[in-house]
Amino acid sequence: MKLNKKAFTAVIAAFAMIVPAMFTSTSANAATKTTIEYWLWQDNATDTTWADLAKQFNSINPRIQVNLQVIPLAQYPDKLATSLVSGSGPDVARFKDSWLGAYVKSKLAAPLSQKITSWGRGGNVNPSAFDSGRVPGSNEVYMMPHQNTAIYMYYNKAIFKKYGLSVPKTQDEVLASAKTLAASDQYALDIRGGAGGQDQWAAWMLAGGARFTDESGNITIDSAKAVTVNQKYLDLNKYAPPGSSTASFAQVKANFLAGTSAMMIHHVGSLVEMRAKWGADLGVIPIPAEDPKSPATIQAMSGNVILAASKKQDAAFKWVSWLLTAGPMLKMSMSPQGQLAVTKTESAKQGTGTDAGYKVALTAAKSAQSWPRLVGTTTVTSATWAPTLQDAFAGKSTSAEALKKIAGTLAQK
Amino acid sequence: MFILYPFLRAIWYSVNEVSLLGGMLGFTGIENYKRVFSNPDFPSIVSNSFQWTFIAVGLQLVVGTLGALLLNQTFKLRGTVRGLAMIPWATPSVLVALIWMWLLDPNHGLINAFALDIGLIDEPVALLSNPDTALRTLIFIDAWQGVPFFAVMILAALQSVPEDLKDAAKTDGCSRFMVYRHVVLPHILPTVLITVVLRIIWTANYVDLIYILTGGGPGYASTTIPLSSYVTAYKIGDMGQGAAVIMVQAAVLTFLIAFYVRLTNQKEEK
Repeated sequence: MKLNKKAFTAVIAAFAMIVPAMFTSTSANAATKTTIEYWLWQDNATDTTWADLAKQFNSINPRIQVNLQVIPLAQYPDKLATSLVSGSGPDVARFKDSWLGAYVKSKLAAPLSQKITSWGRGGNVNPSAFDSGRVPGSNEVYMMPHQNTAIYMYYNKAIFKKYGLSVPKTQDEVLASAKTLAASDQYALDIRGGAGGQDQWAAWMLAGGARFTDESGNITIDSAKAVTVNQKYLDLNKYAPPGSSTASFAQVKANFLAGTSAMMIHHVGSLVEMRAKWGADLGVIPIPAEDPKSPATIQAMSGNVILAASKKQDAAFKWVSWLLTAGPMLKMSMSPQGQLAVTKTESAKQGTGTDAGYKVALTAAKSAQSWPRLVGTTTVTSATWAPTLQDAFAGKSTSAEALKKIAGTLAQK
Repeated sequence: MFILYPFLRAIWYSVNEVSLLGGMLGFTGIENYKRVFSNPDFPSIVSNSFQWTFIAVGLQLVVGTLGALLLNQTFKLRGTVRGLAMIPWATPSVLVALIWMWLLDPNHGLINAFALDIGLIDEPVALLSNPDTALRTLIFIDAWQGVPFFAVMILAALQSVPEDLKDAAKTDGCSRFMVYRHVVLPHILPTVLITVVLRIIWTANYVDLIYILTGGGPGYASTTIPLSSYVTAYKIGDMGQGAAVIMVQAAVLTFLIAFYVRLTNQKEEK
C-alpha cells in the first residue's frame, strides 16, 4: 500500500493532536486523584471482603484510589515498623489496639479527635470502641475502631453430655470438669502457650477477677488475686492435650474440631467454621468467671491508624471513616472474617437473627476490657508472655514469678 | 559496600540506644553489651547456640560421610538415589519446618500415631513442647536437612582421588582401610574441613527452623543467639541491644571465617 504525501501529513497531524490530548487527560486524572496506600492483614486469606470494600469505595470516590497491600499477620508488625522508620510506609494501616502505645510514643500515629468531631457521625460508634484508640494519660484518639473481638468459650455439648457434665459457669467448675474428663482420657481445654495465646490467657485472668492496672494506672497483674487466678490457668495444663503449652491457633483449632479437646477459648472469628463442624453440638458460653454475676473478658480491637507521615490525611480519613458507615460495617462484620461491629446500629443487626454465638459475644463485649495501651504492652504480647508462661507451665517458675516478669515488662517506659 | 556498610552499621547500633520505631536515641557506649551479659537467660542462650551448631554439624559430618561412601559404591539406580538424597537439602526451610511440624504433632501427627500403633509409646509425646527435648529435636531436623550437602561435597572429593594412587597403595600391600587412611583421607580432608567450617557458619546463623517450630521455646529452651537478636530487635523494638547480641556471635564467627580463609588459601597454593 502506498501512502501519498497528503495522507501521510494528515496522519501525522492527527497524531499530533490526539497524543498530547491523551497525555493531558492522563496527567489531569493523575493530578486530581489521591492514592491511599492501605496495609492490612486478612483474618481469612481467601475472603474477598476487603478487596470488595476498596473497590466499592473507589467507585463512589472517583478522586481517591485506595490500594490494598495484604501482609500476613505474622510478618505485619515487623514490616510495618521497619517501613515506617525507613520512610516508605503506607498512608493508613490496619492496627491492633495493643500495638498503639509504642507508636503513639514515637509520634508515628496521627491524632484523629478533631477529624472525628468534624465528621459528625462518631455518635453511632460505641464509646468504648473509641477508648481502644486512646493511650493512658491522653484523651486524643489515634485509632479509628473497626472490628472487635470479645473472647468467649466453646464447649462440645456431646462430650459434656457423654460424661454427665453440666455447663461450667465458674473457673473452679472448669477445673472440676477437666478433672472428670481427664479420668476418661478426654482432654479438656488447650491452654495455648504459643503464638497468640496471650488473649485467651488475658480473658481467663480478667474473668477470674485479676486486673492489669488499677484506677490510678498502677500495674496490678502481679497482685495476690492475679497469682491465684494464674495458678488455676497453669493447673489446666494437666488436662490439656499434649503440646498445648506451646500450641498456636492452628493446633488448638484442630484439636477442638477433631474432638480431642472438649472446650476452646476463642472469638466469633471462628464461629462459622465451628458451627459447620459441630452444628447444634456447639455450645457458646461466656468465659467462666470467679463470680458469674460479674463477668469479664478481654476484647481485642482492630482498627485503622493514619500514619503521621502521610501527606494525604483528609483522603485517608475519608477511607477509614467510610468503613464505619452502615453498609461497609455490616458487610465486614458478617463476612467469613467478620468480628463484632463497633457501631450501635450494626451491632443491633448482628445480634438478631444470626447465630446465638454472636449474642454471647456481644453480651461479653459489654463487660470486656482491653490490654492496657502502655509502651510495654507490645513487648509483653509479642515477646515476653509466651516464654514466661511456657516456663511456668513447665514448672520452671511459679505463678507469682511469671506475673512479676509480665508486670515488670508492662511497666517499661 | 554491601557487606561492610551493614556490618559497620550493626557495630554502631550496638553502642547506641536505637529504637525500632524511634530511631537513634543516643550513644550509650558498652551499655547494651552490659545488658546482654547481665541477662540471666544469656548463658543458656549461648549454650543452646553451641549445641545447635556443633552437634548438628557433627551429626551431618558423620552421617554425610557415611552417605558419601555409600553413594560412591556401584549399585543399581545410583543416579536416582543420589538425586533423591538431595531432596531435604533442596527443600525450602519454611517447608521443611511445616512438614516436621505436622509429622511431630502430638495429637494428629504421623510419627506419634505410628509409635502408638506399634506400642513404642503409651501416650503422645510432644517433642517440641518439652524443654528437655525441643532443642535436640531441632538439631535432629537440621541434621536431616544438612546431611545431603555433606554427602555431595564429600562424594565429589572422593571421586577426585586419583585411581592410580589407590592402585599404587594396594600394590604396596595396603589394606582397604590403609588405602582410605593414607590416600583417600588426606586427599579429601581439605574439602571436608572447608565444608565443616562453612556449615558451622551457616548453622550458627540459621533461624528459620527454630523460629517456625518452637519460636525459641518452651521458655528459652531452644533460643539461640541470632533468634534472641531478632526477637530483641524486632519484637521488643530494641535495635541497639539486638545488634549487641549478634555482635557477640559475630566475634566468635570471625575466628572461624579467618580459619576458612586460611584453609582455602592453603588449598589454592597446593
